Amino acid sequence: MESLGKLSFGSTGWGDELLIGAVMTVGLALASVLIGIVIGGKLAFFKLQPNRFFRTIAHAITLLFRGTPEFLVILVVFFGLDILFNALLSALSIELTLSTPKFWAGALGLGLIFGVYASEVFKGAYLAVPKGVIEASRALGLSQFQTIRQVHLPLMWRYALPGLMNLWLVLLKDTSLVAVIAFDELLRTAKVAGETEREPFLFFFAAGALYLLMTYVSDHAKSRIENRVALVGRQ
Amino acid sequence: MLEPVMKSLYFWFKGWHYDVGQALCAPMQSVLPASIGPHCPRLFDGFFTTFELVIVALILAFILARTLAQMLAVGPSWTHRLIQAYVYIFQGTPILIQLWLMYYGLAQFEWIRESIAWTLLGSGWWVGLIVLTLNSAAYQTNILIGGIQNLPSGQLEGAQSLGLSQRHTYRQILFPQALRASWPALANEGILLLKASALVSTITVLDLMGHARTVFSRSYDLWVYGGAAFLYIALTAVMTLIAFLIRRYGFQALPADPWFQGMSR
Repeated sequence: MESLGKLSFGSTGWGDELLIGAVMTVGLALASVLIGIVIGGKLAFFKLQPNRFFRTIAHAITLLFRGTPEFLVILVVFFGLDILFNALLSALSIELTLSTPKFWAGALGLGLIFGVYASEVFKGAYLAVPKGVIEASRALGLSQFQTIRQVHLPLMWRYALPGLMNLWLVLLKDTSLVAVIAFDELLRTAKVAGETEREPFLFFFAAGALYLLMTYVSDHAKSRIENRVALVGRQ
Repeated sequence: MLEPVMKSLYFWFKGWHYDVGQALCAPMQSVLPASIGPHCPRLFDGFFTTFELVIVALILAFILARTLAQMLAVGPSWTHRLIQAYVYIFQGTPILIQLWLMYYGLAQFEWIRESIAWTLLGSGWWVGLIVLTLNSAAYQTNILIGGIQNLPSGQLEGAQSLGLSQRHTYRQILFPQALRASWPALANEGILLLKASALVSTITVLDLMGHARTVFSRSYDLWVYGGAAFLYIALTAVMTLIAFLIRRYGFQALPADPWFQGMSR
């Protein structure tokens, strides 16, 4: 019972710190999704090009990211930005010690990973839109640009959503990797708390329960959204 | 009693890694960039460690998942809730927290440190193996049970009306077909586990990622991570090849398989 008091809110317990960590985790995941959707859209665009050169490059990037651990990608992005930053500062001969913003380094790394997987989802969704719909909108006199903007893309989202929600669930768990570059999200907060209070088991357990809660909520949101908008499985 | 056995098992696993790495690296020294040349044997040492960890974990997890899926398919119903909770917990939390909970978390308890289990739980390599196994078993159970549920219901009914026991129904009718159908998903899970295995470097295991991080922390040179990424991609390719070979030659051929023609049995 005494150790449970360490999870309470206020100045004596770590409850509020853990909650802030959880909010940071969700914030990091949301920022990564925004970056990832932009990257994924661009990559999918290149994958759908008739030009062979662009397609090959896009597929090579996908292969590269699929074969390397997420952990390695995040470390390379973080330290790479760090080295780049310092090189830039010394090149401009600015006497300043700036550290790379960990939140954005983490979001960029996670966004890259999300984007690479999302590009496959987008590509599949783009191709899944029935040909007849496109032909019909052309026959109705919409220009090619209008067809893509007003018919193809809105329909595409509905095919892409289930895949994107799966990627979101993976991403939520991958945010824990950013703890290793010492960004204070949920897992890192739990580690610090556990080391301070000498009760790592309790705090890792609490953090695990919070992750489970986030997954649970996302799972439910996923099935609700899919029921609302998805065309898959509906005639 | 247990400790010397574990130690010798561990050294039998680790002993040859560095030597083979050195032999492989010697002819490549002229091609490699100067910054990773001297570290090449270390990276290969990690390469073999990662490969062993992942392959052993995958095999153990497969055996566990086969039994768990059997429980879910034909076993007593009181086990279903337990297995589903196990799968949900291991799929719903990051693998990093599972590793840290087992390695740093359990060390807090005095009675665990004094028990015989500490021979395993005190070593990063064994904790890594246990967690990777449990994690992958959860995913593989999910894949296998999905494959079983997608089988036509006539398979189960037919087996039961022929008087096969629950065990035989599963082992000889349901499981082989589900395995065939879900093999691509299982191979994919193997590659995901390979990538997740990089996290054991945070619990002091010197796998490929662990060596790369150690070298980087001294030299601050990103080339090392490039080398590690290359080796990870090579490992992915090796595992894809193994999965293909098992699929091609490991399964009993069925008339529907494209390579069935001309095969005698």
